[in-house]
Amino acid sequence: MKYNKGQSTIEFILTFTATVGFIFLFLKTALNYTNGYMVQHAVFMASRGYLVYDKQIKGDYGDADAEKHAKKIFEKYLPAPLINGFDGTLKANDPENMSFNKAFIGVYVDFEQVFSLGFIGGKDMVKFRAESFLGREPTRYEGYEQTCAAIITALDGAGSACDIHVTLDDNGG
Amino acid sequence: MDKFFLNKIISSKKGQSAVEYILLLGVISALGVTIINNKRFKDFIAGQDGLFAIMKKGMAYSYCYGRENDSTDVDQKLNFDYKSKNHDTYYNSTGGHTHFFTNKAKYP
Repeated sequence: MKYNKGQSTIEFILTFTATVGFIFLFLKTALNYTNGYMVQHAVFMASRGYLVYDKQIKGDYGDADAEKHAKKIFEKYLPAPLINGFDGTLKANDPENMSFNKAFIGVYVDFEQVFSLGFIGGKDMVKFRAESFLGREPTRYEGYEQTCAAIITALDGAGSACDIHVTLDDNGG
Repeated sequence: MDKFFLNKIISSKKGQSAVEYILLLGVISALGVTIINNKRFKDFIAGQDGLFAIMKKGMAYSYCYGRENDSTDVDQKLNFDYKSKNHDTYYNSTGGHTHFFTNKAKYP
């Protein structure tokens, strides 16, 4: 109690600990936001693949294969070790199941992350959902189907299939 | 003799800072423990509708829907099953209209 030696050191250690704690708190919060942006980017890139994937096989719209293709793209942009503890799986809303809500055709992912302020706010995970609904372009087979239907309708049902040679003219409408 | 010794102790200022420091430390510690152990404070910080619970819900909602959380049931919003039109990014449930817009009059 007589000596003042070491007082500055103790004060420095106390304030340094508090300061470094705050810095790490902000860093952790920034990392959480960064993880969120990375997931959103990966979902967006996956939805682009889902939008245009075409299996190019007659009789198959290829929605299931488009979903697999989208998942591969997602994993390419977000490999497993990139985000620690990432538990999300990409899911697709395909046109067949979204006949009522075409606006939601695309892909999304649900995942959970530890809350940045977990040491104060509890250990419950926070649920996040990243969506990208770009839709799904008609495949070549769908184009073929619709063109056939147009031909049959134009010819008033003459012929039951696209086995008639016709000339199609696009009026731009 | 004893009276002289007592006077000597009382009149001396040695150790005053240390005593004040210890007393203040004790008072602050007691105050801190009282506040931290207070039920209302605990509910405010870590309760089901506490500060951090609201922060978590706000973060999760704004991440998904890209807007400030004004929903009363965030869990339901985060588990939206796409079987209705009530997606908060696309549809304003309160106003009963979509967030999409287009021209009112036909283009000439």
